Amino acid sequence: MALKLPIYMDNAATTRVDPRVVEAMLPYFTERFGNSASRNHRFGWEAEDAVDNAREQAAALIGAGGKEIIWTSGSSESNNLAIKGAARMYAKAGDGQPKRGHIITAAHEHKAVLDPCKRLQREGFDVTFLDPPKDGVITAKAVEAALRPDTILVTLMWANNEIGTINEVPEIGNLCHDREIIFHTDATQWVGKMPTDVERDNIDLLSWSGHKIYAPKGVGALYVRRRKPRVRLEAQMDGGGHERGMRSGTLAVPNIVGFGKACELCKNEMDAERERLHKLRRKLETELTSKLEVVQINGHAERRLPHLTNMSFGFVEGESLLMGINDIACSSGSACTSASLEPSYVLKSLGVGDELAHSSLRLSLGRWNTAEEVDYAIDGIIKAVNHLRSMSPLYDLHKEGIDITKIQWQSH
Amino acid sequence: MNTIYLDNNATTCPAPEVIAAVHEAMTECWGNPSSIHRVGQTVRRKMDLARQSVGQLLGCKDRDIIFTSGGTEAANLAIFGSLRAFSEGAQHGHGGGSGGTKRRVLVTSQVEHSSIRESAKRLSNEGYEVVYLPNDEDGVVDVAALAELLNFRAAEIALVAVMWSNNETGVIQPVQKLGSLCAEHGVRFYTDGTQWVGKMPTNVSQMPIDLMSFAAHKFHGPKGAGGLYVKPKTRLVPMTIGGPQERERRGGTENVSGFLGMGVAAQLAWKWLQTDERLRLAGTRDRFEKQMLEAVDCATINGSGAQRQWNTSNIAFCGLDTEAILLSLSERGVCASGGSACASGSIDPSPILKAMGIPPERAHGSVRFSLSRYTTQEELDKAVEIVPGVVNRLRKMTGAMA
Repeated sequence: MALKLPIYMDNAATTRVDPRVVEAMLPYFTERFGNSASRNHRFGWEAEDAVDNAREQAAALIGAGGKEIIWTSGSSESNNLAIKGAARMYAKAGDGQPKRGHIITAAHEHKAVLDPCKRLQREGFDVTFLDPPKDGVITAKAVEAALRPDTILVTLMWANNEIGTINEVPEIGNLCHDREIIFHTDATQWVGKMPTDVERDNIDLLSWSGHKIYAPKGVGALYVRRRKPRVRLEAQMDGGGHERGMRSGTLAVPNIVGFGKACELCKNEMDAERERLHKLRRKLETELTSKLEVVQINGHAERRLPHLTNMSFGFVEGESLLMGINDIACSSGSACTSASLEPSYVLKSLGVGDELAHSSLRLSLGRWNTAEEVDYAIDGIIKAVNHLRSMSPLYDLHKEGIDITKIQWQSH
Repeated sequence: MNTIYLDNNATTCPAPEVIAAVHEAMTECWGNPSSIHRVGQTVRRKMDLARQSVGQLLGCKDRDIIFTSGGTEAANLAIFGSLRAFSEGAQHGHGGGSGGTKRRVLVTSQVEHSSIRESAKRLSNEGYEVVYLPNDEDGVVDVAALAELLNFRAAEIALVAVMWSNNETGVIQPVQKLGSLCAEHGVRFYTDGTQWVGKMPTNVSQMPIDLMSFAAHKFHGPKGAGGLYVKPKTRLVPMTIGGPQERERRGGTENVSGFLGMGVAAQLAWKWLQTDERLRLAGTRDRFEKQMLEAVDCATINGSGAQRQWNTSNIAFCGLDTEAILLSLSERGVCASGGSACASGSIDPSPILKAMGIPPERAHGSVRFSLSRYTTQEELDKAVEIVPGVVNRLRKMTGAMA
């Protein structure tokens, strides 16, 4: 059967909604369209039941209780609420100082974590941006070294959105719990794909998003621990007092129903799916690294999400490479920054040079990818890279054994 | 049992065309609009079209709209975004001159939706000053009071926030006058258009309005989608940050299915507003009220002395408890509410009716019936048959009016 083009290998940017999710949502646009806050008629009751059911489905995926789930419009809002909401609630006063405190995060976090942290910094909080090592993994040791007596919040992603590297989340959570520091993790790329248990993994606040797990965009969740410790947040949106007062606004009932269904599907299918995608990713990496030279896989060799790879191809120009494989939809860094031509700040933070950062591809596999598609992608990338290199004078020099980094260029 | 849904100010049933667009967005057009590849860019183009449709409904340029998760987020963005913009300006401004003007006062009314009311409370707790404008017994804000306030304190005021039409009573505020006064004094004016937009003709860029919030699910669009109109050069400090979306004024992957659905809902509403249908429905609503007053003793229309939006009817049945009426109505297939859905379930009387000076025995038995453009004469006739029976029976049971 002919492949449907373009092939989509950008599942870390967004995923196609699962048809089973769509089906679960549809009644909530028609005969059950009510506002879940309407307490006086069946439309409201049905909507509320559906929202509560979705809450249980979402909680079950991460080992939480339904009451610990706060609905949001997506991970960006969840991150903003978790970080700004916790910082302002747990701010401590120094000697004669206004109530502030110390926050730890890392330089290669998503912008939806970095920007709230930077805003808090402007408000007077002290923020440490940990520099990741070359492999991209933030270890508990690195966090421990940065802890201070006035540290109130640690926010570190579970898995990186560009390179898939996995931070030492349970260990970091343990450190925080020992010291009564609130621990938030942006688990947008992790949850639904990897086993998660907020109890075992020592997490206080966890963000995730529907559209990365085959639910629609515009819905996300924040896990807020209710016991040991009971985490409090300052709301970022005021109004009707929905979501235990932490997030007001009419709930997007159909999207929430879809989110719940997607969580249930992920929980049931995650193990088999992970194995399947890991195999496909292994093939992708093995073929590309063996059939092309000067290819580098970015990030830690093992501590990576099994369905994602980020590779840099020497002697090709990034934009030309994307154009050359235009029937393979993938990205060269996070989608949220892909409109800019700046090399990825995540890769730069790992010490990847501008040239290689520019010529990197993120291929992220998902539920709908097949072995045939992977073969097609391997073939297409090899052809495109070889074609571009055939026109590259620098590649010729490299083949002649000249180290181009040592060349003294002359201006004319 | 046929259900008669008369709670359209809480939420409306999405139009079939809207559902089709949402469905398409989930099955065909599901890419991330920030992705540079084809899958993403197809979606980007559709989003642009949706924004144009919303711009047409609002009467503004598409670039002056920030898409949000709904009316509450938009209201919060308007209020906190404005107050923070002025207080940051004061701290980091040029110190003195216009850039350093300290504007730390929010002026609002006592009949606002909870999203505005609660935001005002938080600001007050944070040390900002909140001034509440007085209103008359219909809940109409006192224009002269604003004029006087502006004469004395315009330079301190960061924002004046008064809704366009009331969610509980449908009472329409003198937005044109309020906004003009603000404009004369160089004060920013925000109106919550959540109940107005999509039901009344709007030409926001021709009005003295700097900010206006709206929500798709109030005009047969999906929940989880709304927005804020922002007049050019109106600086806001964004709330949800961390991405280039909405021209860096609201980060986060867009709710594509919601926004594409909102675009279609906007088109349909705009088309409908070109007709006289709302005048016909206003007549239907008036007849409904007249029949109710005839059939029930001691019933009054809240806000009846003011101009009201065609779709809202708030009726006080004195001596009764709203919850009891609603429960009985619901058992007979009539869906209505006691006020804002966002406050339903609470036993306190509506703060809006309270602010109108409506005595507790009337406020406690008030029921809001809210129509949509799809409400039929037949449904209202049926409601007129059911409601008086329920009210009279309850009164007999409780001994009220005995």
